[in-house]
Amino acid sequence: MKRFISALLLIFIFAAGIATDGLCRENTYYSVLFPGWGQMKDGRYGKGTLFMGAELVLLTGVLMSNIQYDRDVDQYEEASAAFRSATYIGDKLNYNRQMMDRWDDADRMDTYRKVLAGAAVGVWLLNIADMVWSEDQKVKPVTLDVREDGFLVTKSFSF
Amino acid sequence: MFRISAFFVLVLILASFGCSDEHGESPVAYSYQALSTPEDLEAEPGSESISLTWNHSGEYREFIVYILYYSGTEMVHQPVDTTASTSSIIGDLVPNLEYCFSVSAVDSSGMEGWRSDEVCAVAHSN
Repeated sequence: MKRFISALLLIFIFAAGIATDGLCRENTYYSVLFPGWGQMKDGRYGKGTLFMGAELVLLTGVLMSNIQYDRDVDQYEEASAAFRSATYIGDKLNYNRQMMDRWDDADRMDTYRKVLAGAAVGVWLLNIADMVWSEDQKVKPVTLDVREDGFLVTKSFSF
Repeated sequence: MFRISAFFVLVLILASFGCSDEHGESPVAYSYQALSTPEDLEAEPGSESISLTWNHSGEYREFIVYILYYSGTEMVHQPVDTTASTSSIIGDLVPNLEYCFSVSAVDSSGMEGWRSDEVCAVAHSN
């Protein structure tokens, strides 16, 4: 998990560098900080909410599965200690079975958190790609059209 | 565009690096050839005592005699005697109460085998 966080930090620093070196517009930087934020700043609230909601759900899933993983590892350690100190064959087999069950649970949680973390990274990348490739599609939030018989103010929303 | 492509490649490399396994090898199933279980356990009531005898084949270091009782709904095995012979006398029992016992063999390393079937008896009064 530490390596995963280190990898995310490196990606973040690299992406922040891209976003601020003039290649992308300013709002991309916000999307690097958190998915959907840049889209919100652009006025594309639908897409922004989608990215932000997906990222929040996935990060919550990573957090929950990580907590459960730690819990399973603790229970495995307890069963392992009990197994080592047991002298009765029945207790020995019972703790050994508990060890294997807890290890399987921890392994499953480890898979979940990796899949969810990978999905969170995927959403984050999609969000940045969306900001980079939608640069020319920026919608002006308010326009003023002066005509002979008056003027027209238009407020635009994008989703 | 080149920098964006390089960025995605870097992300994929780092993500796969971060997803490597961290929590080691799976534990293996415990494999142990337990001592044979004491057989033919018999209880003979005595005066505030119960005499136990049993048979056992194969090697052993000693036997542990357990008295069985319920704690709530859980059956508890409380050791009451350790002996190198195949008999034991459990004394200081309350008359007219039924006591149940089981016996297990212990090998030279201190590992205890399966416990025998339980046997019950009522101690006499003086």
